Amino acid sequence: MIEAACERLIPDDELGAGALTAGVPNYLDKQLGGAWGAGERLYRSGPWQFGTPSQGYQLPYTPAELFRACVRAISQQLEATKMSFHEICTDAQDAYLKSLESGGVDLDGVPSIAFLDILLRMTVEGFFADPAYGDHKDMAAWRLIGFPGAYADYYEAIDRHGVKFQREPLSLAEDSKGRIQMRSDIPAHL
Amino acid sequence: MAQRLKEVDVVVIGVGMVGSIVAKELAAAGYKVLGLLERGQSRDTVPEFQSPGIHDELRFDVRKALMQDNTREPVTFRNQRAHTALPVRRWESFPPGTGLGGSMVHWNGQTYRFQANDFQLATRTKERYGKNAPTAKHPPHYRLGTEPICRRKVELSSRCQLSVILPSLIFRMSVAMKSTDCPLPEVSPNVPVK
Repeated sequence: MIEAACERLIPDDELGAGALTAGVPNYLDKQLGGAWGAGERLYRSGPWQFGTPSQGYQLPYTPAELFRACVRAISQQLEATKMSFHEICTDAQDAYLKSLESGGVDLDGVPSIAFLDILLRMTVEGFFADPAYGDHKDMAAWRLIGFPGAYADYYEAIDRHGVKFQREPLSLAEDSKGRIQMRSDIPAHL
Repeated sequence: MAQRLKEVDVVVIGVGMVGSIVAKELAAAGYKVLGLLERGQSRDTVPEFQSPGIHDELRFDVRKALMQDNTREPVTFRNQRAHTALPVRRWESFPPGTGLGGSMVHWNGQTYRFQANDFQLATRTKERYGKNAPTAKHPPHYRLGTEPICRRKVELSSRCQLSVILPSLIFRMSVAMKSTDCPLPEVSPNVPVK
């Protein structure tokens, strides 16, 4: 379900790789299985009640719990059609994601907009995050927008005006031999 | 046991980029200034802020790794008194900083594009408040300055050599500020420390 949903949120197109090709499901897997998924930097005590939109996320679930509950609820809902999310046609997938977005669906007690919100956020995160966090194959999203990555300085370039800046994207986890050392457990504190 | 320190005129709490300018100006105006209260951990250029780790946008900008840990020091939030204040479960709109370094560090290496109306403070304030906008009758530090430059000019300039343009821009802005003849806010000397 996650792979198919990522593919619909950022599809492959003529501009380049989309979320599935760039490996976003791997990012989601690593993040949800790690500290972030377990609620790192998420305040998880009461009082619990729905707030105003400006009060942000107010559900008692960690990201991992939210994904687990919602994916289960979605597959139960789609049981009636005898198809899984990844088996229905892309138009139907889009229509289903839109129904989640409009908030009309109850996913086992979770308003569907809350799930779509975190799914979309984390898909975008994984698409643009440094490869250190998960996958981001070939730094495809960075190439797409011309983002050079984690260069320490631009000393050589600063006085050269009107020249297109062209360097291969650089991951912050790249060693001197050009290998990327994945560290999906980078803590969200210093 | 509480230790009673020598009395000073002004204590600046948090001596980052802003606090240190305030402290310097007050000291230059003749006040005895103490500025040493910091919160959070000690942080330094190396190893905390060294490249490439510090370029991690997900860790620092999205997940607010340099900011206060809201799971340890939670705050509640509401927009209006009629609402119920609820815990901020993740920092979104206002991430309070922590640790040595202040806003010089918390800006995260991100300079957002100026809004066109950042350069139109006087015009916009007059539009919004009409005849209630500050005039010559108000205390000098409420008066609206002039608008010496617009966004377009700044962006044109930024394609030229920034190192040449920026000092001249800062000079012009400081002249514009001085021209309103703005005195320092009044601080009563020898505020009793109780």
